Amino acid sequence: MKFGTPKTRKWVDLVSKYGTIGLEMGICVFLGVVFGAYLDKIFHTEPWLTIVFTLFGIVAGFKSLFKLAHDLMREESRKANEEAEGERKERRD
Amino acid sequence: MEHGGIFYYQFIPGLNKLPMQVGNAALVSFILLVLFFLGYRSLKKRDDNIIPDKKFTLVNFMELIVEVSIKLIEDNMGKVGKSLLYILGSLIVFILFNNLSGLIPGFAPATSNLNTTMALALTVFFMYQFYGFKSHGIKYLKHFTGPFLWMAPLMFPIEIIGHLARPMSLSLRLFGNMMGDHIVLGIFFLLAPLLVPLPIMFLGIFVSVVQTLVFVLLSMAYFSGAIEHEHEEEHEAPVMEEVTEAA
Repeated sequence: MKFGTPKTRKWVDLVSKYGTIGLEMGICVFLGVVFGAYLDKIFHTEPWLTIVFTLFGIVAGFKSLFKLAHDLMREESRKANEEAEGERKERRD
Repeated sequence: MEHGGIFYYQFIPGLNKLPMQVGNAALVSFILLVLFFLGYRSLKKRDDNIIPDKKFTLVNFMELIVEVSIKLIEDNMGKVGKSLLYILGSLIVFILFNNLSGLIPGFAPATSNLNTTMALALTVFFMYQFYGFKSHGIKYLKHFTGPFLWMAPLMFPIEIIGHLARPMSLSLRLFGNMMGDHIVLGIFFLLAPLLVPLPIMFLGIFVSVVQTLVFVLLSMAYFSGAIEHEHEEEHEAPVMEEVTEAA
């Protein structure tokens, strides 16, 4: 496995960026539930804070998914931009 | 997680009373220290620093490690990354060699214990928050309030949960991969000690390298997310529309 060839780098990028999203979404929901249950115990407001914080956790998980999609779109637009620049240069030549 | 068996660190006085992961981490770090010290000394002795040695020497090895880490950091973070070379480079070296030490009989990798990986991930977590506050001042809190100020009470707990999920996912991923690899290797050794575990050992090398890269790449993403300025994104948004129209 040669280091730093474009193919390898792309592959590692894929694993590190998109392979993490499942774990992160799950952990977000888990943290939400744990926080909610803990706060419920402190304030004696049984199911309410658990429900609210579970929703917060779900939203946080989807927010990280959304951020990933946003980054992906930015990356793709950057690539398309570079390709268009290259084509324009070719036409000028 | 009580393993039976003999480990190298048990023979070293001072280390044998420590828990397993601490003893192994200390042993691996000590070996690395000796290696780097020897490399540094032979680097000092040479009079010509430009032409590399013909054989694969210790100095080449050190240069390879440093070059790969610098390239990785600069490719992903740009010029800001140079100030982070110390923490990220140490992470690369420590995690990579601890992972790989698991393939040698007599070592139990420290990274297959949740305590070690949690310590690493929490270090990254506090460091990137610190760098965020350092580069933005109190305005760093704007990262937590979302796009509008009236949404702040709603966004704040969401962002806090999202940020707290990061060290947890970092540590759990590294721990799970190394632990799983270790257990699979152990079971295959029990079933058929000759030749059958070889593919799993190859897989172990692969997993060690990839998990190191994943840990460091994600840390770099968190660091640059904390350091970068928010308004840069707004400049890039119109470019995207232009391209889609042109396409």
